[in-house]
Amino acid sequence: MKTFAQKLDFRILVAGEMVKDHGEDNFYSVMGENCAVAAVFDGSGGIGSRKYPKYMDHTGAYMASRAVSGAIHDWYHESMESGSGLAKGREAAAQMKEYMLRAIRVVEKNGGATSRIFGTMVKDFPTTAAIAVVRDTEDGTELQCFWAGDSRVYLLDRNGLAQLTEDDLEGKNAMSNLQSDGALTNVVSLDSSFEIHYSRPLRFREKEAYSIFAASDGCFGYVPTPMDFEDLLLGTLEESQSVNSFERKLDENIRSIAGDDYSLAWISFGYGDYPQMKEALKARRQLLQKDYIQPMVEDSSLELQEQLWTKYRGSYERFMSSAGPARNRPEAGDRQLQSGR
Amino acid sequence: MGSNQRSISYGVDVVFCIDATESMYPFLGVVKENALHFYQDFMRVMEQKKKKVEKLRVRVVAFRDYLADGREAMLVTNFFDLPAQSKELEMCIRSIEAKGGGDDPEDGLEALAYAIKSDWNNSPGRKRHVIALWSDDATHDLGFGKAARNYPRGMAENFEQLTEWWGSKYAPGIMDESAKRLILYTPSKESWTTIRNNWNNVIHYESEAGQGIAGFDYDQILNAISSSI
Repeated sequence: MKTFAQKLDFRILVAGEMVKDHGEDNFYSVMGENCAVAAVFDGSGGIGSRKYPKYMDHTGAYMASRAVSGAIHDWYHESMESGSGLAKGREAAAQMKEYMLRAIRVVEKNGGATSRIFGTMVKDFPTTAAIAVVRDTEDGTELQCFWAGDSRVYLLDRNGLAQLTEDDLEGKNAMSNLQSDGALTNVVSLDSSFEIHYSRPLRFREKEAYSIFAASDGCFGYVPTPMDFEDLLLGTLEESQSVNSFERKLDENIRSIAGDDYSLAWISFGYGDYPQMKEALKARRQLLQKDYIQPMVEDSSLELQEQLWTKYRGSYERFMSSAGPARNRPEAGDRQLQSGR
Repeated sequence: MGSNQRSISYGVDVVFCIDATESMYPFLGVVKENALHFYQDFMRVMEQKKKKVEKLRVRVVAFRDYLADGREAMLVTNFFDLPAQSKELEMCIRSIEAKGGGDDPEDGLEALAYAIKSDWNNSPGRKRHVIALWSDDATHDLGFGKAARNYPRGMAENFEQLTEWWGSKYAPGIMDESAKRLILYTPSKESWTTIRNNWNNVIHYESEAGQGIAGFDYDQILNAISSSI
């Protein structure tokens, strides 16, 4: 039986900022003996635009993503050092929220006076959070997602891209959220009314090969459709010859389209090496190109995009139940979803 | 990389509501400059964020006091397409004079109602519908100037109805819920404080009489409009 480290192929981090030294995203990635965490945090500049002279005129959004990233670092290390390991589900979500609030309160306390901007579109230290926690079990690996806001955790395997978290947005789905650019309905902030959602655990057998990644909307929010985002990922995979080149080209390709700061924390399992991962996903890229991308290149109408989205959506939302991704349900009755193969 | 090179663009409509009463005289010039620079400044910020603005339109609502100023109480334009009609917009803004107004409060809520009922661009795709309002004082209650002969028919009956016109995420009003933004440059007086505390998608820059908008705060406001929320 393989160890957790043997199952893991590689981890990469991709991040960029629109305005130098003012990027409002942050990320966290760590790997232990039996578990790994990949997380991104997107300080919400639209509602967190207050600037703090004591923080060199950085915004509340800038400070929040960093504080919350640090909170998850502390949560991980203190949990591991205590000997109890990482909590799961509701307990983990409650712990994360407590760590986040504690960190934001320190930042607020030290921030001092700020500008005279008020209103319902202004929050103190707002940031999204999308956190993937993977742990080793006797039966394989287990993934659980935690989130607030519109940053996402995704899974990519030979069946294509799947969104694992449900956006806290007014829009109805990934396609309508791209088009409407709607307001966040839940976001981490000093106001403690936010909720950290958690998904049911997703279990993978030892032989399964897959990648999971957390991404801020700078990565996926500036393509016309969710199909284009999958094509960006698979196209980058195809044009790269190694993990290092994949990380570099993914950064270049996201940067070329992003209209916002972007962060992506990626972990791949079970492929063995990079060439085998490329080979395993080659057929999926061909199908995606033939059935979705080429038709949209030939006809860029919104009608066709909507029609193809309807066809694509079933697979893209394959880990979401009809009531969403089964978040915040009692754990005793959790259905243990297999990964669809 | 296939079709992901197809970029996403924004349609942006902006309504400037400007208090043009006599008390605004000391700083109407600054407000007008802010309004005139808004286009370039907004485009600069959108460009920094690599957000492509496909269509940008601006209209102007200059307001005073129906009872005191009669026909001069509300001056309203259609949308100007920018940059094509920037000369016309500039002429319009520069022609606004600070005069009249009667008592201290003004008919700012009627101006807001005009702005909310603008002919917004509702074509598919990402949009921003922005109302930017400058005033140095409180508002009359809606309908205070009803006795004036030119008081508009079809105006919101009261503040509650105006609130319905603005809408909320649970009960959308006239404007697109995702696109709408209201930026107030006003003192913390009625009804501006009620609006900032209760209406969604509002940014309130608490101004002081005689002051313009400091660059520091102005950038924050531009960032707030251009960013997702």
